[in-house]
Amino acid sequence: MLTILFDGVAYGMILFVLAVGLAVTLGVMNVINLAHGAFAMAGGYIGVVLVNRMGVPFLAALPLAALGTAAIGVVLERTLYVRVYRQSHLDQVLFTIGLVFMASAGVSWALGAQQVFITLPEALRGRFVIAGVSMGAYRLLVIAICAVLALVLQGMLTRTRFGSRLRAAVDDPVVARGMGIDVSAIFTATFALGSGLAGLGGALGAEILGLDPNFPLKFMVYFLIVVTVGGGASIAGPFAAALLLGVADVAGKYYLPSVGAFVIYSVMLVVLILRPQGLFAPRSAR
Amino acid sequence: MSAMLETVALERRFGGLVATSKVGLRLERGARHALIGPNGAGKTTLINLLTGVLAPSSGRILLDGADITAVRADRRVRLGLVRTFQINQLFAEFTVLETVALAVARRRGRDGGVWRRLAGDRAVVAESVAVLDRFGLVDAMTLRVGALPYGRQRLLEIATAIACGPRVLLLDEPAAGVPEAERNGILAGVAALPEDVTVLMIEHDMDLVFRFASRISVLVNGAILTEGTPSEIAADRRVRAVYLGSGHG
Amino acid sequence: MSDPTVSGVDLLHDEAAAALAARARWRWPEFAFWAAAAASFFLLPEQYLLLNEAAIIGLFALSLDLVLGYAGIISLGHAAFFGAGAYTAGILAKAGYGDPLLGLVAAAAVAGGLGFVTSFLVLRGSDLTRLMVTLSVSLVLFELANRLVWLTGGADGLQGMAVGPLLGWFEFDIFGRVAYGYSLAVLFALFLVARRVMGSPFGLSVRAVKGNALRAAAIGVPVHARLVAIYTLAAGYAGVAGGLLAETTQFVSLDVIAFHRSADVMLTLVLGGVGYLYGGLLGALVFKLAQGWLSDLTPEYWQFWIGLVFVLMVVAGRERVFAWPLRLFGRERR
Repeated sequence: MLTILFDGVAYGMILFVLAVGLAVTLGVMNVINLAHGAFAMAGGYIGVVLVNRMGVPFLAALPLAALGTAAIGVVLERTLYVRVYRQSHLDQVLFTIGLVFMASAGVSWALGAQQVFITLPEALRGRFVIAGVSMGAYRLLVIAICAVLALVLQGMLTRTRFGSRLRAAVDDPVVARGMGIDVSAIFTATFALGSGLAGLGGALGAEILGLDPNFPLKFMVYFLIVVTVGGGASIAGPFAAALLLGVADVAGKYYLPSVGAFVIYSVMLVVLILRPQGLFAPRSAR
Repeated sequence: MSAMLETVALERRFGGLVATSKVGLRLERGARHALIGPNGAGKTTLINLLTGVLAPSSGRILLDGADITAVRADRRVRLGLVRTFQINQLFAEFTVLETVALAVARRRGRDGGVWRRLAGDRAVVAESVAVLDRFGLVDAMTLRVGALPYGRQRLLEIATAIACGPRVLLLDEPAAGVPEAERNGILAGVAALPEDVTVLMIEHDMDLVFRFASRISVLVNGAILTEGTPSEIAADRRVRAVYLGSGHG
Repeated sequence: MSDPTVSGVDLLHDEAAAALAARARWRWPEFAFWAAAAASFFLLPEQYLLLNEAAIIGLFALSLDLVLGYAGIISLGHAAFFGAGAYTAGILAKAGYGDPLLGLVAAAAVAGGLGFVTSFLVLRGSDLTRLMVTLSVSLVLFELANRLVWLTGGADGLQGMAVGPLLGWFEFDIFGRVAYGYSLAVLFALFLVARRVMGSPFGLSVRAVKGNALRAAAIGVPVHARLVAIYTLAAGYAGVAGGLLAETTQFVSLDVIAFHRSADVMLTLVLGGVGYLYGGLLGALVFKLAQGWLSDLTPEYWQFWIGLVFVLMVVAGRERVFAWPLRLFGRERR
């Protein structure tokens, strides 16, 4: 049973890395970006191409996938997203769904519609038994990387100048601009960070979540769950929400296979009914 | 005789910040009462508490003797407690006439009908036209609200509130953002209110306040500093100290 | 005796009444549209099946317009009501209650009931919260339909539906003649009702809630009650559309509650324009035509072109792109 917990934690950590970018962009720019999953998919496929076709070592491919996705993010942000900031939420939903459709169809055309896997290095394919619990090496790595990332992000948000500028821009963009904070540069940087994280999560999670052109649509709901339940105002909120979701999903599929995803959606409905602003949001949501 | 609008130790806290501190207001029927105070004193918060947009942390609100502390915002309007907003809150895509007609229809309980057209309701149409006329907005009847100049939107804001048939009217800085030349129109509209309507006005424009009010309350840091007639307030040294350097009016 | 003041007031009154009625007046493009629709029944027999689909999608999109265009709720799960209606009609037909109109009434009732119950979930929260809630309702329903194989046929779909003759007389034929006539008639009837309702004081107050919910409440409009009412009505309409699909194709699959249905209907509505009732109908026509054309061109990648259309549309500015049908059919921009 502890193995289930362990697997669930690994799953949850991946969801965290994938969703935290969405939480941040939603919180900072108030944009409903349903295409976030497409960035994750991009990172995953970049990882696949790098490792499988170009022989790049796995651990090197991870940051490359993140950077590549971040670059795509910057380009899209400067050219397209920037026009959508002022528009209604409906327009943002339409725009980002449109992007998802284009991305999925594009990937399907370029790389085929079947599920793909990243060839893992030998070292990561084993299993360890620690304190009586069977743990996959790969999942151990995932947990380690994600935990470090969470701490780094938290530190960045609370202790650096970028972090405080970011929080200022969230609180009041007009005043922030008046203080000389370049809000649009912050937006671009945040978007790059968010998509980079998504890309990393996509590459990291390809093994655990499964990667195919339908990835964005399949997992969009999960990211949204993490963001709405965890709230967009902190790192800790989405972190806890992602862990909960990961464990619940894995445990649910194992112990109650006939009920499966049902449980997740129902739980989320209950949460949203009781606290529409999310479980962890400290102040009123937008 | 019970007051028309009364608050008992009304308090609102936001975490550690006390925005409204044990406020006790008492408005008699037909009162012309002004609420003044420096920026950040909590005047709009008080209005939000009175109208139900915000829930109080403690204390009670009484409308004509009835406790409305737990009553929902839209229900309070139906009970006769109506407000205007400091920044215009209008329906940008509606016409001027539609805005007022909806308020009138609502007051008459006619806004839930799904079949009969509003245009065929003679009473609603007549009353809407009358209200618009009082504020000089008849010529703008078919214009889109979003296309009106700010001053006229402000008049519409007040006209809409009047169309709700209030027993108690809360005006949140009615002259805010209105050019000097158009302020008289605002004051005229307010002055033309029926005598039995109780009016509480928040304002910074001292000229307007002294022309309008028969009683003034001063709110500072969420608490009532003092209350009295205009001449008493004008002579009060504490009030002048509070306003020193703010240069309004 | 002529009292100038009195007749002046009368004139003003009439002018005001006329202004209020302006939005609800029928314009010539509307007559033309419905005349063309009726004509299509007689003049385009080869296209019956396509037109039938268009009519059904049009009704579905119309129902979403009530929620999205008039109440301002962004819903990504509207297919839940469509599917509920489809399955209701299908299950009834399979159980031997094959009368089509009875099926529609049942579909409307079940879907409307579901809408009523779930409406309380979308009253509070931000746009994102409501989006999530509507999405999860449809996902839960999808899972339910998937699991309750004994009721819905699961992934294989509901088969063995015996849909009886319409009004006891018109048998459904393979050319789709009766089907299209049926769907078109139902669409027209429901459209008239929707038009009347949204042009009423109720409709005005719903639009006020969308325009500025804070102000609407400050006028005394019972915001929650209005939203529940319009959401329920829209769900009922979507249920009827689903029932029509079930009855005219005599088959119901999980596809009716799939996410892409919700996404497609939103795209359909936006293609035609939001908030003036004809958007869903026009969008359905365009959507069907485009689908046919693009599927011939690039069958597997039609999703790409849809995506591109939407990106371009939003970036160019939705209101600007669709100004002309809006002006033609009803929403004047003064």
